[in-house]
Amino acid sequence: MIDAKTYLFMVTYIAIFANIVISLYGIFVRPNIIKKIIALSIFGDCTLIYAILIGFRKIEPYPTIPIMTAQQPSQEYIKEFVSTAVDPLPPALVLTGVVIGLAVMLFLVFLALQVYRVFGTLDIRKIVRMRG
Amino acid sequence: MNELYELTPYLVLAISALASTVAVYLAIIEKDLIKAVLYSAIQSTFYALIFYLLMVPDIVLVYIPVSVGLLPAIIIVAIKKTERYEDVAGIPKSSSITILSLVVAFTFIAGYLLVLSHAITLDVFPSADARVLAKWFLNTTLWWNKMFSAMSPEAVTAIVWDYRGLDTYFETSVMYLAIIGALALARYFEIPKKEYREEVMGMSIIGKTATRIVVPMILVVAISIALHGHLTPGGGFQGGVTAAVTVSLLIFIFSTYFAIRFFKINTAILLRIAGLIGIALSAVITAIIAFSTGQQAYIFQNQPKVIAQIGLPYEVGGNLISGTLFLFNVFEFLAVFMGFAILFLLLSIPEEVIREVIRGEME
Repeated sequence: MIDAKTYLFMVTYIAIFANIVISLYGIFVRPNIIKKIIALSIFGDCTLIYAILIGFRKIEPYPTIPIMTAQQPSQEYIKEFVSTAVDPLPPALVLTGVVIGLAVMLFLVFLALQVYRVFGTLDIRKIVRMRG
Repeated sequence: MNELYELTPYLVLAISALASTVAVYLAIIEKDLIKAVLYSAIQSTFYALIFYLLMVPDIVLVYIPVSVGLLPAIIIVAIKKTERYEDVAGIPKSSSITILSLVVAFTFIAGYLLVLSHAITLDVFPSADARVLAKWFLNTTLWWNKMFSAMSPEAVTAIVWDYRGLDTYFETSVMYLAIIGALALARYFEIPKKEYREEVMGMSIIGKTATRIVVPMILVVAISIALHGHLTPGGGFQGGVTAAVTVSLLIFIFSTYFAIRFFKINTAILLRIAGLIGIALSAVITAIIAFSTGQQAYIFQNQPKVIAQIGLPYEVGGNLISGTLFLFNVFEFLAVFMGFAILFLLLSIPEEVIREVIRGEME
């Protein structure tokens, strides 16, 4: 019932899940704030990959991109297009997610720099001990 | 042979996912933060390949400049300004064993959930069928019936700026607020007035000459991505982040004092506000036309609807422009480009200047 394509797809799914676990370890255990930001960006990318995986379709031989190549499509062309293209909704959500993720990451970097200027360190354990 | 050929994309998908796991592991356990950033950039490259193989070229165009180019560059600047090595004293030596056991445990959970979902739905995970909503979007993105169509062959841009336009509008405002936050943190800092000198500042002449050739090309490609957003993969977001790469190149290869000849912070803020006002106006332009002629219209209306008979032309002289989608892409390009230009210029202010200001505030 499970053929080679589905098996390879499941390998992808589980590998991305392992990435989520490792990056969560980085967010929670590692003391340096910059390392936490790196781990957070990896975690965000993994969730975006999952959003795209949901929209994928297993079409023989391979699905097409959700973009028409005809300027005045005929009825048959549209039918063919709908039956082979991947779901266009997850890319539309992920698209804004990536750009806004970058803006928020930059804001976090600014906050980390400000923390370093005030406390002189980026080690979260030392900052907690200082109490302001 | 033919079967193996059809299997290749899935094989590359699985291999790049496994390779990205190795890169993530190395990025997390590495003590040298510069190396950690480079490993995370390698992971991003594999993710870009995965996005490409999952047939979403729009995301590839936005993901490569953001996660392989801009974010590592910024984190490296932040590391240069702070500490290079992570202090791992106090973290148990067996942390890699902890990670591996966590990964094994959670991988079993993920596999169990996958098998459970197969058992419940009696269907394998990448289904051959698409959701009803997806079929509706794909059916109507370019259709003879303008009442239900966005009149753009690019289904993703049509969803971003027509079907779900209001979502994108508020997501743009999230970006606006993040940049406002960064500006508020840097409220009294100014780039010192210093003359740029070719001989002493920046990298070697090889890097500078190459950058002088490459920067106009990147700008042309970025503008082309933005203006063709309603026809081919691309759009305002993708073009904006690609153009923002030029600002970071000017700052890192030459110097801040060279970059502010072209991009002053206040000018960038003004242009960004112009872009945002343009987006707001494009959202209501159909309503403005309709109300001035005594008709009804919706917000974010592109083509005529059943009870709102007014809409923007979807082609000009035989060229498809998809009504408001073209305007939205142009203004979003301006807003994203200038927003990131502001952030880069703020990040490139020398640390001595900032310390001077902060010391003044604390006293």
